[in-house]
Amino acid sequence: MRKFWKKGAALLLSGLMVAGLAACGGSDSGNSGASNGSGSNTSGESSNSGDASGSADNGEIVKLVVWGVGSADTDDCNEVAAAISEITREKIGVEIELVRGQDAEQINLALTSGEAIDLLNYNNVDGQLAAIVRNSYAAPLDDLVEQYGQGALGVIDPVDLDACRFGGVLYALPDMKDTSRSAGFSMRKDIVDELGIEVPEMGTYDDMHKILTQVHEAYPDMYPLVPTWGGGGMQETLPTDPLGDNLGVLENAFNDTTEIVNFYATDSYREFCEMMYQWNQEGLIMPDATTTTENNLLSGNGFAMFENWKPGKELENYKSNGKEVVFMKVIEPYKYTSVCNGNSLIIPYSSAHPEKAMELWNLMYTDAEVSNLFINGIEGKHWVYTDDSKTFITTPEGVDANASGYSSVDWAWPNQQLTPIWEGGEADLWEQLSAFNKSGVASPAHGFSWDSSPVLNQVTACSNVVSSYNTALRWGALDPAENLPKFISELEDAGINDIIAEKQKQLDEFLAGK
Amino acid sequence: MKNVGRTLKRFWPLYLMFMPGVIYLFINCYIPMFGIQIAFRQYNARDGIYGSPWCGFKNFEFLFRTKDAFVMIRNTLLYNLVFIALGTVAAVSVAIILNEIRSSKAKQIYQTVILIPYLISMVIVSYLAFAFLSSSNGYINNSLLSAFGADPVDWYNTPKYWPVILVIVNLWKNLGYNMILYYATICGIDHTLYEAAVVDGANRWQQIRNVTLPSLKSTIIILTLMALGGIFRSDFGLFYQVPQNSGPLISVTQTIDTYVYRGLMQTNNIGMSSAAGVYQSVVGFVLVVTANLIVRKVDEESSLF
Repeated sequence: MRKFWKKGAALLLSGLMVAGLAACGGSDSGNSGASNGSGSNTSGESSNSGDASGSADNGEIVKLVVWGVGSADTDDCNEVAAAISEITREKIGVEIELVRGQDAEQINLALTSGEAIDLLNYNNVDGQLAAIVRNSYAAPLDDLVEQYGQGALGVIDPVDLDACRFGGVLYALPDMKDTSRSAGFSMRKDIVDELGIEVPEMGTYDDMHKILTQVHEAYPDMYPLVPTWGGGGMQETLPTDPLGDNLGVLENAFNDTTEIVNFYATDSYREFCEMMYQWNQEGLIMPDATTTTENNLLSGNGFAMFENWKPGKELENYKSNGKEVVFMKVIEPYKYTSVCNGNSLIIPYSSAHPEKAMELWNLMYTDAEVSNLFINGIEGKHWVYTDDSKTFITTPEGVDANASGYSSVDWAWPNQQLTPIWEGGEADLWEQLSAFNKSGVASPAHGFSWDSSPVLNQVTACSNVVSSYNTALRWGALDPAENLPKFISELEDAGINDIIAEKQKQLDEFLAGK
Repeated sequence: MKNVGRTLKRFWPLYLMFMPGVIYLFINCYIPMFGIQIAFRQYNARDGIYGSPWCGFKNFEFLFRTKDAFVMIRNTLLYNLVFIALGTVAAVSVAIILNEIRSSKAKQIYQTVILIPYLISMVIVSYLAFAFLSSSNGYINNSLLSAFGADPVDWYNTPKYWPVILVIVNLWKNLGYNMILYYATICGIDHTLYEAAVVDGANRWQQIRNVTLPSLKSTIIILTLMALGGIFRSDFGLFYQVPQNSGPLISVTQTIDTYVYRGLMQTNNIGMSSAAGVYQSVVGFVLVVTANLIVRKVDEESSLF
């Protein structure tokens, strides 16, 4: 009998394992299918229940679901949503449910499964607006904004609005954040002051080299140059227009040429890599730059990093690193499509109330109280005025600045310029920001977004080649003399020239129709 | 029919035990299979699965387009073959050694210690590896190599070491689980066989060779067959997290799974990711059936079906 059970158990075990194997086989392709089915069910249910509760009230009030970025506790989100609902119920007959802090996977899953969301921030999604539009997740906005969004159109710069069009159709509205970019190096003020270094406002890479060398000599144990974020993060300091994905770019967005070139085969890229390789040889770069998973390295043993600049960026850096910084910019402000549309909201195709969603969106651009509630949360709980002049706000006493339960990510909402300024910033921050945005030189391809679907296979192959080389070359971990030619020839094998030809064709059509 | 009824009546406890597995499988593996069609459609969310247009094998093209296709298939296959071969040898050896230990307390301790890595998440393993290999703070560069006066090695930018590193990590992590399966079989071997062997004058080594190993044969074959079915899959964590996604290592760390991940992160193309999944499943299925055919030719008793 014992033997019988033993044999039975062995059989059962093996049977389960074979089946488990088949399970793995099905799951990759199956997951999306299964979630699709269940997702559409839940969406149906929730929109039903929303309607039901609405009609129980007075038959008009609808509940809108808003997904924003940044971390926040559910309780705090509910509280903020209740406060916003107080206002919006009166003004537009809408109640809010607010969800924040969803990552790319959760957003993708929600979008593929058609979850009922009425306004969604796509900042975390890879490929951002282009990927959203290509997968037809977003509702077209032209008619909606015409009818319900005049207030928003009143404050948005029409130049920026063009960046949210795909094939002439509007899919998002630009946030009132920095829509130009300037970039350079952010470095620690305490060290700069101590060594008496003069940091010019605009500088060159040679200036930076001198500064880094000086710091390296004075503090041999310090890492002079560190990644901006984990895994070799680096803000671009070359004046290119990446045209979406850096596969085929305008080498210099400041001049008028609209000829698309292979970024990785340009002289500016080669010179940059050679410079970084030399800096690395001289010990100016953190040894684990490409593999470290740490963020905010200036807070530790780092001195400088590549960083974008906009008015108020010093304060942002201070908030994340806990160190005061000074900036040396290497490129003047300029703008291209994805600077403007890199963060915004969409109305997902699955929204049951796109008109109401547009009305709410419009309110977020025009109503200071609504905008402030979405961005900073509730007065007294998440922020307080520093004094009676009501210019600056700060975290309430006894509340940890990094754990108030509702983090303030002001650029990630439609209109930060309606909100009070955080302590430490300058009183005319929003005027500075507007001036900065206006000063940006627009790339000749500004407003152009390309459709990669005709060459998707090439894009996939090229992205893979880029991930093998780009980070290591940029950080000087590989010798460009040896590896850059390999990189370029592999890109050509992977079909970069097909991509460039297709992109050029689309760009020429775009420019002709402008 | 009568026979079926009688079997059911006689073995009902076994069938009852079987049910949770069957239900689990049906819900998790068979129902989702209808999603396979996504691989052959140009999927978009608005039209849904049934509404999206068919596109034949277009989604599969990217898997074979470039010379990456060769590299990733080579890596996936070779690593898996090495994992299977070394993994089996190591697990069987450790299981036999464990069985030779007399003290049952020591036995339990060893067993637990060897199993622990299996329970650790790959992400944590990747940080353990980083603690060893980091060029600025790593244990190997700062303590071992410098102690012997050797030059530090830039591990994350030097591909040649990685086949060995990955094999070691994989072995370290998965040894415990396989070992337990073999150890359970060894425990089940009839003791009279050993007694008879001792009477015949067999020493320990002869006992292992002539009693233990032959008794393990069918377990080894079953586990190897199963592993073969997964030969086109790879542990994503092992090949992506452990090398810290370092670009220069891609020639030796790229597998089908990491290629699909890297390539599709930007495009979010569900059709193409499904195509990769279907491709892996089909190849795995064919391999299992073929390997089983061969086993059946050689030794019918040991084959799976």
